[in-house]
Amino acid sequence: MTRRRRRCLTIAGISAIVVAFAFPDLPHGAILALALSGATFLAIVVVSPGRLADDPRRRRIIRAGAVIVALQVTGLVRAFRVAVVHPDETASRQAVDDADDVLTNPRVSLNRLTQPRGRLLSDDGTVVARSRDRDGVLRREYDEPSMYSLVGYVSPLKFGLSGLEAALDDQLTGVRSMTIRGALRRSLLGRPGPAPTVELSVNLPTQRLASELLDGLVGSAVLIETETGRILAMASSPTIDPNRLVAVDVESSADAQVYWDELLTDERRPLLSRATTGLYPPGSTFKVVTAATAIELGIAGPDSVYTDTGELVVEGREHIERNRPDATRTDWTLAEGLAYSLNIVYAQVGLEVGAERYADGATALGIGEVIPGDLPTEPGQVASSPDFLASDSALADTAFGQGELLVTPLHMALVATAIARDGTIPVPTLVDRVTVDGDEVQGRSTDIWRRAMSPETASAMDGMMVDSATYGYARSAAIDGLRIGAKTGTAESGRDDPHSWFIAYGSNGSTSVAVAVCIEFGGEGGGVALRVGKELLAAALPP
Amino acid sequence: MTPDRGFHLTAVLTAVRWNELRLLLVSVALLVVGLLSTSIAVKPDHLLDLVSLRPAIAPAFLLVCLTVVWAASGMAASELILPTIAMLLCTGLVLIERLQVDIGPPGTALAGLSGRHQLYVGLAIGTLFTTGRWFPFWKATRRYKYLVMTGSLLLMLVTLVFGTERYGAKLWLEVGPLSIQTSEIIKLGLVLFLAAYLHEKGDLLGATWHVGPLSLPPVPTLIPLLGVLAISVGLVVVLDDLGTALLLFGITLTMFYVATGNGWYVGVGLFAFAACSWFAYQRFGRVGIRVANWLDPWSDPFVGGYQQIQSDYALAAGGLLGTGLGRGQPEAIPAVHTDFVLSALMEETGFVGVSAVVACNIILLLLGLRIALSTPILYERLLGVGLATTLGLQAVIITGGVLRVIPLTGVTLPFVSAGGSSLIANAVAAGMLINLSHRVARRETVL
Repeated sequence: MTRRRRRCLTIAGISAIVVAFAFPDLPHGAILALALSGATFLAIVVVSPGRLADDPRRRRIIRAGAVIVALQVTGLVRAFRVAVVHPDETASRQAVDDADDVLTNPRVSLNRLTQPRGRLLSDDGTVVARSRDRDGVLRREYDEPSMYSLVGYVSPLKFGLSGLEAALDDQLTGVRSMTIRGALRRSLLGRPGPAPTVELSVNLPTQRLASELLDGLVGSAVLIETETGRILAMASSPTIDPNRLVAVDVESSADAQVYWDELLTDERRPLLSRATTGLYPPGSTFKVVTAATAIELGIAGPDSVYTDTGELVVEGREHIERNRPDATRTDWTLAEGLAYSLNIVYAQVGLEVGAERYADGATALGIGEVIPGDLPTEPGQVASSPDFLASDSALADTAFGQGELLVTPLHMALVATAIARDGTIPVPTLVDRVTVDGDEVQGRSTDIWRRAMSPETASAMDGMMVDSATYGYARSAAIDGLRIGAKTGTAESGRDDPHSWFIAYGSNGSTSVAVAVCIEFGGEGGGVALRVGKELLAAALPP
Repeated sequence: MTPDRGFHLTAVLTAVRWNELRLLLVSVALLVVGLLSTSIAVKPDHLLDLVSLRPAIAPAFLLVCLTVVWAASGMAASELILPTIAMLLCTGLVLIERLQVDIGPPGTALAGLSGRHQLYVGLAIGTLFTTGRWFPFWKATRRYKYLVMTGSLLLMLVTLVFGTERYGAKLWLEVGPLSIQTSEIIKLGLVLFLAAYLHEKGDLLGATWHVGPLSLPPVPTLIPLLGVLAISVGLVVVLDDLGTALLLFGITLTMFYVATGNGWYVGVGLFAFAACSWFAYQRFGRVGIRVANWLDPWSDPFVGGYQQIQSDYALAAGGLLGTGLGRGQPEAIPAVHTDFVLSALMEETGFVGVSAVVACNIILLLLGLRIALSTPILYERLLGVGLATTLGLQAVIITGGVLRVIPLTGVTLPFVSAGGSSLIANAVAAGMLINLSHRVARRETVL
């Protein structure tokens, strides 16, 4: 009897190893291993009809059989996982190749044509995307042009999904909010439940203004409510017309393909969602990060004085300062350096901080990391490798916003947000709530993404940003009756015209918003980007 | 045991194998319901398309005839084996008939798929009928075991030289209108040879001599084992057929282990196989693709992993109860009727359907092993183990492959997949098991 028990334990152990091997991605591996061992034990009992002889051959036969049965049961466990426990994980997975061909589950594509898909609403309840039944086929329709660049498209038979339609797919199809009863109704009766409605935080008048302001330009703008992290407007230009990509039949497919090829060959790259995935050197707006890092470390304060004689040689490379408003003056405070965007001041600050601590400071603000939230974002980078900053020349460049820095406009808006509040960065959200038949099934995420700086540093930075918008080069961003902090940026683009940057935040006493604007090849930051950002601030902050 | 029992109604009624008959009727019901629901899903306008039931009539009739004639001839075998096989055969018939609708519309290369499958199922039932009750040919092959082995080897060589390539592997031998997958015959030859050989030399192989901690069998007795190894390696390397190689290897190891009880055979054998597989993985693209697909088909989703991904989609679409026959899209999987019938089954009958098929395979294995356990004659015991593991391992290799427990290697799902050679060869194997069961049971009653 003990020998038998030992044998069963051995087999159970082997089974557990098999399961662990076959299901590396299994969340409940231990439970399944137990189930498998139990099944193996049962199998042994079934084979040995209560009279396990002493004949060693019979024992070996039973062992061999148990191994095969264990393998079969392992297969079944795997099948149960794929088909019953996590079917949507597999079913909704897709791949894209270099030529932008999409590999998707044909079943999912067909389901998209027949199964209800929820509506997307702006914050005042205006429908920005809906599915309309046209002869049994559900056709996705988009009625709000200003939302085109943000919403993306659903093109089940041709191009897959993009933008919010892709990011919120689980919410819109109801997979996320599926109850056990709903799941049973769907699998047993083939009846999909009611489609959820997704309410966005986007403020339509502001969004329309943003897309109007960007019209004709190449670039993007993001407006965030700083208290909550709600995104009030997010526009990217040029935009696409998602209605032309929907393609539910042969005829519209051909038209859609023509339009798609046009979009692909357009060198302004309209398919790119610039605010979240456009990577740009941040230019002088990054001086904010350098200043915050230095203040956080206690190396400098807003009133620390640096010498800027108009030129600085770092590792044999000469930097010429053209930004000084008064060429006769050589002593400048850190705050003035930010207001007048003095590269030589910030090169010195960066060198003082040092490569390692500088990289840590940028990481504290999340540079180089994926921003959580409702939309997929590109992480950007401080440098392509940590070694880059080891050179003083590179560190100096990085400290005033050039070097190998790459950031998204959304990220710079979050940097401004951190300063406008207490130094923490909230998770930026677009979804206010998801409802099914009027019942809320998902609320807004109120999580904090990270602490970027201490409240004291944030308050010191706030003073510097307000200075910049009072007497500095961002002073034209000042709006009567509002408290505005701002920084412009002019980022080398590799062409004659630099990228034009503007980050700012403002408050009218009751509401506080942060904005980031980046216009590709838009020239000086104090020009077009500032104009767009200022109008957005004014619109979002009624006196 | 009255000689004239066939003429008395009561005698006939006592002779009828009621359990077998009743269980067979379950398979027949499955066949009828399966074909009807397929036809309803495909042609919703004709709710009861009785023409679609035509393929069900012949197998149902054959199965019932089979049990009646067996009963009349004094069959003593287990009444569970035939219904288990019938269940798998009927599942296969429904599935192939259903796949035909989408992958083989009239005028295409696969148009005759279902018709051919029905014919082969008929032949397989006939084979079961005869080998299950009569012709215990393993008694003859026991005497001529080396001839059997040499024959199998020759067959492999012939396939190597004259074989036809399909689906990228050279496994088929075309003889006139017939095309035979010779590995199916080699598989049976191996079991017959090993049973006889191990029966004769088993004690010798078990009595080992020692080199340090290693205990080894006498060298000359190892030569046949090396021969089998050579065949398997040959299959992997030259024919590029990892599935059959794995199967032959598994059978050999199991039978050696059962006969000698020497764990070293298993250890060394597994190591040798691992080494061969590693070599093949490094050397041959096809094996490498299979391994890559097993680990992560998404690493090459458009070419190498495409088929496996489509299969995974089908598995995920099945859920607990499936979409219903004819309502899924298993045709999205390339060559679904060869290696991926299980995925099609999963999509349309769900986890429950796949569990049923796996359960049938497990039951078949256990019944086979039970026969092996119940016979006192060593040769029959080894033969029983060999045949049972042949069927069991083959099912494991293909279900495990489709479900990504192991790399996918193309063998058929016994009694379900389309493929004449495999159906007939497996019917011969199962027939021998039934015949063994009959003989064992009759000996017990005589004693």
